Amino acid sequence: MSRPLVMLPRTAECAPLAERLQIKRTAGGCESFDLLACAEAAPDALRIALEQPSAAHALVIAAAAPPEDSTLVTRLAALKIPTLVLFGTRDRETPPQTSRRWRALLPGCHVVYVYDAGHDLATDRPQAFADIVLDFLSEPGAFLVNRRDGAVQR
Amino acid sequence: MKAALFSPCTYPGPTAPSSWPTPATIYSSAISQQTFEAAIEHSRLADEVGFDWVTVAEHHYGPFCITPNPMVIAGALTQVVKRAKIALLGADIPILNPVRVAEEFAMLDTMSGGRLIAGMLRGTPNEYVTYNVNPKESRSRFEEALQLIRMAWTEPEPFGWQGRYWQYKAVCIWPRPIQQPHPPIYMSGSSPESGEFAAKNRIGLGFAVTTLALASKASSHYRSQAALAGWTPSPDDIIYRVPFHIGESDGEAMEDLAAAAAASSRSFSLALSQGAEAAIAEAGYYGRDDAQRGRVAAAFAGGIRGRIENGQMLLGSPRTVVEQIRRIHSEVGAGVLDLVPALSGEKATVSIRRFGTQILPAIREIGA
Repeated sequence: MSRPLVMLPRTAECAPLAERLQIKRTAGGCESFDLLACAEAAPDALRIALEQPSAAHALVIAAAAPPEDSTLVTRLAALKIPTLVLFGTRDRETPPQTSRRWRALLPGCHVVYVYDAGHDLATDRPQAFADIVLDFLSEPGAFLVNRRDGAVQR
Repeated sequence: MKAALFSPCTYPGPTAPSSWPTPATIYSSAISQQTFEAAIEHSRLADEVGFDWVTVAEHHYGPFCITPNPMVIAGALTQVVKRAKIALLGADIPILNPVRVAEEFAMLDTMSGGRLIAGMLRGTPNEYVTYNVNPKESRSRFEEALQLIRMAWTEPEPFGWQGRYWQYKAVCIWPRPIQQPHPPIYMSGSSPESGEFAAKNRIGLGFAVTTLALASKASSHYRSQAALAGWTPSPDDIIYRVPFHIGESDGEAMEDLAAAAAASSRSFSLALSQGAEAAIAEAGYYGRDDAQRGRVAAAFAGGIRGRIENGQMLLGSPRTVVEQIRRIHSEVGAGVLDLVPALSGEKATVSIRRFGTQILPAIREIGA
């Protein structure tokens, strides 16, 4: 994938990060980037996606509660970026049913439950997490369609 | 106590020598058709004479049970069984597509007006050959499939599933089950592992082809594990499957059974080759309690008298059978008997009728 994947640290402060992202992107000659945010970093990822709509290509949010900031919630109606929201089936902090609130805010978002993972998806099921994120980012518009070759060729 | 009538849909015609899979070189479609008609008629009769449930089950590749997809016959039963619950004991979920199972169960719950009992089993070991699934994965597939089916029943928004064995990008089943949050779930539970899982997940437990002693041990384990998980199973949470035949007198019941045995010497085998059986045992299929592994042999030990003694046959006059049932209840704590007619045809019909009219009223107070 030639497009950079920006993984937001959980402690990110949106404004300076967005600024740095802009500088780095221009310097590196990239036209767009993907965003991956876990838990508390979700609101920052949403703000970056809203502020750089032409550059933010796709967004993955993992094990996060929907934002509570009413200004941000209101702005989400304008968010057009393809979004995947992930939850672990054993997550007690943000249980899978949290997805219903995300679907209310972003009706077009995809929700996937990572079976047998808790709040820290990437640690609990690293391969399953990486596979689903890469599947989505490789072609967000075609995500629902299985694009793997399942045939035994030889 | 409650009673269910189990229709195994055993193909009664001649077949190639018993082995599994059983070659279909000697086969009659007419006999299969009559088998289904008889099963539906017996279920209708059971409903009429007061049975609480009618039961069907899944087995593959042989005459022992010609309902490889029990959902199909259950669909027919929803139209003739008007009052009793319809129990699938069950669907072998580790070898199936769990979303398809959730959809079929939801259809049955809807078509029956909320009368579905959803049994989910690991199946007999040979079933892992049926759809080419590694038996070593049996328990972990069972756990994932159960969670996925529950999620498909209860989550109204579309969701994807990144499982260990199954992956889906979007699941959102229609129709939805009538029973909320979902139909009652049962699993089979002879091994300590199964009892622990059922207790942790608050689901019912069924015993089949076992002895009173082994079922009693397994049921105590289930209860103590449930207590640790903070709940108490009700009698309805424990099913005990047992063949039955009711005569007017003890002597008549015994003679019927002897005559049927003399007329037919066939036995059914679900056994695989020695090498394949060894591979399944090595895969940990039977769980950690070695005694439970020998339960099939134990259940059939000692001829008819032995089987009655072991709690693996209800046989005799209504009065005698009521006492046999009392013993099952007191030793296993089972609240639901899943009854398999020991004979076929008219003898089965008479026996079902006798059970409904003369035994059911007498066992209602047991455990109530």
